[in-house]
Amino acid sequence: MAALFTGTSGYSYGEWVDAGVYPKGTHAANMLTAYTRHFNAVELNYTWYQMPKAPSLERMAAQVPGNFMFSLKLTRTLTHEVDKTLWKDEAAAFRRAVAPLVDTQKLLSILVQLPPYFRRTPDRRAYLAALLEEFTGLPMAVEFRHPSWVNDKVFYEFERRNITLVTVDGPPLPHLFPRLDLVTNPDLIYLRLHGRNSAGWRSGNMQKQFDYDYSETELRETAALMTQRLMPGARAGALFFNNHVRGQAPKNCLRLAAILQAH
Amino acid sequence: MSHRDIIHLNIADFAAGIEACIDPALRNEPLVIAPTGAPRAVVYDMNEPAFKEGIRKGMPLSRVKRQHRGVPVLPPRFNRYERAMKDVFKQGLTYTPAVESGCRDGHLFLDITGTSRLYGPPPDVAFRLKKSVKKSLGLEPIWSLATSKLVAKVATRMVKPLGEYIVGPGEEEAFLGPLPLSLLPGLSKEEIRTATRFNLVRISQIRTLTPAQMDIPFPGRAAAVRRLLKGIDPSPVSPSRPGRLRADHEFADDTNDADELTAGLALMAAALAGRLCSRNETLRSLTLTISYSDGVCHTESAKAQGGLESALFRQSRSLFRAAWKRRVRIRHMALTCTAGPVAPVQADLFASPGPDNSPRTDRLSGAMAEIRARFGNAAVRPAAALAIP
Repeated sequence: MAALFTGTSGYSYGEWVDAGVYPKGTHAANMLTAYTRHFNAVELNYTWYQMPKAPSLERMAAQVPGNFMFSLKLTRTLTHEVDKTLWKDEAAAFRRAVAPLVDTQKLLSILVQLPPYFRRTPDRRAYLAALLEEFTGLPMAVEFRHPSWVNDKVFYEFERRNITLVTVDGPPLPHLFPRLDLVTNPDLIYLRLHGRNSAGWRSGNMQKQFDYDYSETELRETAALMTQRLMPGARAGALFFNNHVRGQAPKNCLRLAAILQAH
Repeated sequence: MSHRDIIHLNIADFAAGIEACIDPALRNEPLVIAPTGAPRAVVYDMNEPAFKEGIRKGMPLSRVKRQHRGVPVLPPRFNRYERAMKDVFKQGLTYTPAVESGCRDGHLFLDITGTSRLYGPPPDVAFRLKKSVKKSLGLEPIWSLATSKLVAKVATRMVKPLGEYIVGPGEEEAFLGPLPLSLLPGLSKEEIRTATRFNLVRISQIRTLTPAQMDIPFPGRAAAVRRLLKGIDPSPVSPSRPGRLRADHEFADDTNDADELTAGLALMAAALAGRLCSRNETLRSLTLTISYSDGVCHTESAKAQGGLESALFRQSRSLFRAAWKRRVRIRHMALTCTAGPVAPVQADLFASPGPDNSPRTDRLSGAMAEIRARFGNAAVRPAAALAIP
């Protein structure tokens, strides 16, 4: 059976203590350790805001059990605020930073989350190809947010390069990249669940955008998607909940893991 | 103790940046901010290209002009910097009431502990704040996120002039360890010099010393320095208190003429007294800040001795005498006071009814305030302010 890594997008949320995810009085410095008691993977969001630092990742890797994996969001200077003259240096810096995770075999994937305005244009196609080239040899997963990328040529190229196309669960709104149950890289399938809060999605406030509690039916559907469409034939799977508000992500994730285990 | 989320915004080369926003032609060329008419003037601020050419704050302007011919020099305009600072401050207030700003220096601390339910994860708040400052001012601040003001401040120093730094909870010691001692706030130049003489240049080196050994380079301060080295800084982000009023005066030319300086004080005292009167508040404390032409500031404070214009003026003059310690010309003065409601006074049981019994000075102040409210501040001014046209 394929290995399945489940977790949430980020783990350091003060409100999760109030929500009962972490024991009362848990200091932020101890949250990762507390988190590892429930999950075997985490998606690090802070690496989008700032270039990660190797010593910091090394310390994190030392705090987690042997089978625990990290997925790192690629820094914004490589996805959202790209400087044509500097991006290659930034990519090299990112590669250097993740080296401790590569060495300890704790790097699940590098998540390239592209902005909603990142349309499919010749320039951007060329940039994305060059960017992925810079990370050759590392596990890469790409999350598109503009529907113009729904194109067989894109998926074929991902298959050829062993790049994972992220399957996204979000609200049913127009102009979003749709949920595609495509496996472009059998080494790793990657599902991100953002919640389906249509009303708050474009509010500009993360607390509204990601405020969603998946129902039992929705979680069972997601489990079916994993077991019937995505996981067969895959060697590993990653599943991350991003609806972090009020501790809903860990609650939903634990429930989905239980459903999957019962399958 | 639960951890705090402290954001530090640092707009590098603040004064030069503001000037470059007003005149974008100055943006990519070296630019120096320094008083142009003052003898022995020193550099108040400079932009990044000027920094790369070796120009530093506090450097004599004559030397800069000699070594870097053609570098444009603009006089500091403190009022502009203050307005920009207020704007940044207001943007910070949209996320938390705990905002502390520096004195026109582009530094801002925000304590956003416990606000994530409203505004989202702390790194996202810092990032959005940076974006909004960039949008409104055209300046890109460095930002950092840490568990204390000390660590947050060091973190922004690490990425100057551009960037961001998040120091996660529990990472403080590891973050500070490899850094040079000179990056740590709270140590005097003398202490750093002494430590360097002992060949102690990195924070991690000093951490290995015993308390007795620490007492040698840091006599009497070993325990305090040890806390700094560990990144322990419980000092709160001190928001500016409500009820604070401020008046300032910028001299057309830097001056050390006693009459002109007194006139500036008189104008500020009049402005503050008028505002206190219109708010029906009384003075609690008074602070005077004088900024010399080389950018050095001196501040003096005292408890209030009366809220009338004459008393305010008298007290501001005595504060000025205490604060004026240098022969360097003065460019800018600011008078800040805390105010509060007028304490209720029990009326005299046997006071005779009829005409106003208050002292003449009270009535004079009241009349001046009325005239100013009706005809503007320039309608009536104290004789002491006549030295300023």
